[in-house]
Amino acid sequence: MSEAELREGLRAAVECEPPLEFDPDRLIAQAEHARRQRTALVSVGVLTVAIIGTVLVLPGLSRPAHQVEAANLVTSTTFAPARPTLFPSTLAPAPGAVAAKLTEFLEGRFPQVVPAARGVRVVFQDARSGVPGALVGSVVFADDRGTTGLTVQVDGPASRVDRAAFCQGAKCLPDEPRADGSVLSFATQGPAEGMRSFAVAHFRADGGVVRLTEYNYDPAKGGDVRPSLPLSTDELVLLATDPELPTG
Amino acid sequence: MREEHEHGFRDFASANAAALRRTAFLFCGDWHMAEDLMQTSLLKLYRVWHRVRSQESPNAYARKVLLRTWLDEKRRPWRRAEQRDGEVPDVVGTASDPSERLYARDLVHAALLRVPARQRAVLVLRYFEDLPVAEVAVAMGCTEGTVKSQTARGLVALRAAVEALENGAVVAS
Repeated sequence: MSEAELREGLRAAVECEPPLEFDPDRLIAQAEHARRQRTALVSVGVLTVAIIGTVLVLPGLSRPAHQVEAANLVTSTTFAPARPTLFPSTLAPAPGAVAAKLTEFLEGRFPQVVPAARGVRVVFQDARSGVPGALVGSVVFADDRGTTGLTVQVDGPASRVDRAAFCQGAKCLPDEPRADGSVLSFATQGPAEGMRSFAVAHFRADGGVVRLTEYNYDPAKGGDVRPSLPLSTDELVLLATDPELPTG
Repeated sequence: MREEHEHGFRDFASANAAALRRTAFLFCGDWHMAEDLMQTSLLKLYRVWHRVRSQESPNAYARKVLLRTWLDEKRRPWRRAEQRDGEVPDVVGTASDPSERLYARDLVHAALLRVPARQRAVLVLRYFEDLPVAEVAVAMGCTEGTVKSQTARGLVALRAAVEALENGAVVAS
């Protein structure tokens, strides 16, 4: 078969074509309909993403400003060790009424107990998800020697914290029973000359526990080691045993 | 789409729909499918019409879209069982018989449907559309050398198919 025969054969093959009923307007209408459908689909997708984004972002925007700024402190649920590397860089604020009450209480009470403290900021987060009333918070403040922080751990009666757990990994001093049936425990960690921390735990008669830990350095940033701890034992005890401090 | 563009597309589609359908028929061998391919190609063309007008010959682009639409369609599972057995008259007529022309027409097309898809496309574009090698290469998305080699192979395959069909027709008679 020559090329000429092929050409002729191909032309002959389409000679008997059926009539063409082509309406360009109908085609354009069909194309516009498809375009509108695509646009609607994309719009729905964008709207869905926007809604999901808003839902995820709004809780963060509704946090109190002071909680956002202080998001740099302790998260440990046991006695906090004297190593700044264990402090996470970010904390999520604690939800719920207890955290709000704790924050409000400490913001008001802490400057009264520690008059030298300046720029007091308080933030709480969920310490152990699933354990009711278990919260960890931080009090960030500055004094004459610079910035530092205090870890506040509050466990409700349901969390069943015992003193053995409090003393684990730390050097504990003898317990101090109180007239109301509660017990004060004291623990220290770290060398006498280096970075160290000191903790007071108030085991309340109702089963709730308040633990306060102070550091001779800035637990959020590390930095210089102070020659002494920023709060006295009496000040810690005063805060830990305050009946207004809620535990759950 | 702006009215000016829409007007241009309408003119182009009206003028080229029949030609596109013919080419599509030679690709696929079925007028219904050819019409679908033509419509689908024009829809695709409409979406990018504003770009096509300013950058490229609409005819060349339309051929490219048609070819790709057909090749895509062929890849779909329900299209794989392609109809490749165009009906050839059982008896070869004499030169003076009008049925000879009918026979020749059906023979070429039936044989063409036995040629592999891309080679078939090259043959249609070169010998039906009378496109130069360079334009076929653009439509096929390949080099000119590939077009030449595909043409040569396509012609060999077509001749073999014609021969096979003729032998079959003789045997059948």
